[in-house]
Amino acid sequence: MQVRFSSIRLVVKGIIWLVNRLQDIFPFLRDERFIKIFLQVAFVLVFFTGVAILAQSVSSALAANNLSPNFQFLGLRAGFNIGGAETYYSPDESYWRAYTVGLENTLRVIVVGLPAATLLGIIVGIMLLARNFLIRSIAQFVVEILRNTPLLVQLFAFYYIVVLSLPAVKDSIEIPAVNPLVVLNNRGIVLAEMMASPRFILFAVIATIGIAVAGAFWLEAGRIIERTGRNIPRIRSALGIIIGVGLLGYLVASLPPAPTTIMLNQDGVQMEVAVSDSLEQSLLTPEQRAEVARTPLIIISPQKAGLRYVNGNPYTATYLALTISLIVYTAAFIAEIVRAGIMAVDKGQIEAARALGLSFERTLSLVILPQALRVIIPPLGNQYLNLAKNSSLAIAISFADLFQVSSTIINQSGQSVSMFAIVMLTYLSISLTIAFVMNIVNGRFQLISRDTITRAPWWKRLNDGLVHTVLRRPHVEKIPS
Amino acid sequence: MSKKLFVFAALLTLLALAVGVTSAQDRPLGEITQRIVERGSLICGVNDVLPGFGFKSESGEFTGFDVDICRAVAAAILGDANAVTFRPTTGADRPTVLASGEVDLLSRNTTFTLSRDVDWGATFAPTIFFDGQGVMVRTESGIASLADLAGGTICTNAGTTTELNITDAMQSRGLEFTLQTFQEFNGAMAAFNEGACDAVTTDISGLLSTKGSSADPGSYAILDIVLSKEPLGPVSPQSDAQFADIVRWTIFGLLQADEFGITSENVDSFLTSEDPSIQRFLGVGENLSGTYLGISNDFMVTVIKSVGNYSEIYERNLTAPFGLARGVNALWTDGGLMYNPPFR
Repeated sequence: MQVRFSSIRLVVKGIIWLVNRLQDIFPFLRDERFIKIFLQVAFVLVFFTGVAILAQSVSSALAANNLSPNFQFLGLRAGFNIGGAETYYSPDESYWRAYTVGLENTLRVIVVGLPAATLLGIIVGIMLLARNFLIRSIAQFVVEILRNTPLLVQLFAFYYIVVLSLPAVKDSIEIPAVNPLVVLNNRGIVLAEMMASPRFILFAVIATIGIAVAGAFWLEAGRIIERTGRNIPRIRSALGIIIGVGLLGYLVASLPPAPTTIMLNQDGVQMEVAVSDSLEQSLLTPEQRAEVARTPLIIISPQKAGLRYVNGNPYTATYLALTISLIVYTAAFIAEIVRAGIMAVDKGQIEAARALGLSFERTLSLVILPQALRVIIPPLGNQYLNLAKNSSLAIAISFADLFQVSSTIINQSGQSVSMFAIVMLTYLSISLTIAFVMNIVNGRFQLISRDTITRAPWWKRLNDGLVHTVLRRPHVEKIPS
Repeated sequence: MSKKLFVFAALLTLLALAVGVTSAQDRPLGEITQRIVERGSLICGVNDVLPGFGFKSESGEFTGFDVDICRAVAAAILGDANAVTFRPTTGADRPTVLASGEVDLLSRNTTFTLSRDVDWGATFAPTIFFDGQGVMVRTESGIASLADLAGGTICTNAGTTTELNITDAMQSRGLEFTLQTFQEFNGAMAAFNEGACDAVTTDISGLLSTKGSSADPGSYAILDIVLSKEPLGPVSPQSDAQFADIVRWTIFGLLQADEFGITSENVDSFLTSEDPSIQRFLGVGENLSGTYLGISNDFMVTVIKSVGNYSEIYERNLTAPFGLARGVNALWTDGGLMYNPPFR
């Protein structure tokens, strides 16, 4: 030990001696400017050599197996079915189309998951701060379990234990029992479908007028609020106008009598059949039912046909299991972020708001949330990115997302390098899009000082400037003259 | 004159016989055979988790179709079907254990393909089981054909061609279906057992093993359809042609015995058979059989006595426990694919 130590010390001493002698001969070696540049050049050289060695070994390994990465294979016939996409994708389409089906499925998860996780997270976050002991404890208990177990385990447990133990197709739960609106089984949920009849046009025209009137009212009310500071419930009023006019339009469109007979092709013979009879015997297709309907919209119930349900909007069990798991898991983290954000608001602010006589809702919406959001939004963006990336766990429960479909493509085509490049670029684009949007939102909520504008890069200045002038128009309440 | 001719003919015959015998007996043992003889046992790479093909019981005993092939080869070379050391191998490490010489013979439900034949530096023995992708349903569902699966959900594990084969099969019949692809076959089975899938599809040997090891095998039914070609057979290293010949002709012998109707029970009664082709096959009297291969001339007698003929092996490992019919694995005389070149 002693020997080793002294020998190491000898080597170090030797190196120092050598460097010192070198510096004596070449004085510029002592120059700090040279050392800085030298280290940077050395780092760049080492880095690019490493990259080149990697690239070389990958390409030679591929060449050894007679593989050359290319993107032409994307045009070849995929040949495999994708679960849940039967109605709009066929195995005869290309690998590229299969990839886009996977991408659509991933986006379906993200687009539903982000707002739902946010909403649930805010609710649970507020529950974590509840004065009620029971509510607070339950929320804490659930959040701790969700945050401290792996998502993959939760996903497995949810799909294989909860979802699969739902009844099979033949024993599906149908709500209500006749003409069901919802059908539930362990393959998924089928929701009844709304279908427009020819009367829908009249209804749509009247409803559009209603929306236009509501919009005009909204703008005018906004002006009045700004001018006078009067408190007009413009959201409620505008919604009231839309609903009222919409209902009126629905009634008006339903007034004309419906046809009592319909021409049907039965066993190759065209014959006129009474509508009531044909409905009773379920002879009509959804389109024909829309034709003879009295109302602008009709409800088409899911109907069992053999091993599956036809009509209606199906959502596969794997899609629901993945989306719900991601929502619940991410919501637990968001809840903690929301709790922390609200606690970060100075207690004095709340007391001041109360002292001014603001109601609880107004204190929350005007004082607490705007300040809490400043703390909440940056970590919230992280959670959004996590949700998007975690969606690739779909492969564990056989949901045909981007990654699962791409794995199958790699398996079939052998083009692993090209396909992994595409997959990574896709996830990168999704993440960057989310990050970009969250940056804009963040800019919208941060305090804007002269500093933030002048020090920021030009694109950020533009963004903040836009936010400042367009979105962040201050509500300067004029004193009524 | 005639006496002279007789002596000449007799000498000629003797010479021919002597040349034949010496050339056969002098056939040098290949390095692997040599190794096996010196060691006194055959090291055989097998599956240990696939009931019916290669399975290690709790008591440590190996059973299965592939396992019996190992025993047959050991009986042929060493005269003792129990002189086998089994070495469990995984699907991924099998080319390595074969190439490194860790095993003498690989008998592990291995599909014979062009790339493996070349890349592994291996010699594939004759196919002992014509496997293929199959479809399994629940008996209570009453599904009897692919047509009955129209509109249903079929679950499978991700494989090189599994998804492709089932899609092709359904599409060519004009049937719509939903495909659910799991990474592991266990996942597909879990969904299938809960009724989330109407059918599962993977290699028939895999379906069989799942069915056989389930609590109630009768609740599953394997459809009478094969979606892909998966010829399974033992593999030996390319370096030893003599050993490869022994493996090849041992398997052919199992088929030949089946064709002759020679079983482990009645093999002794055939030793006195007048039929020259049976005499040649069993190496009775002056007839050459195993000698050509450099092993005991009556090696097939030992093999048949120890493991039985092909039918007996099939019956013992696949029909009795799993109820699997012979299908394409029937003898050619029964309309199947099992056919062997003549023993002469």
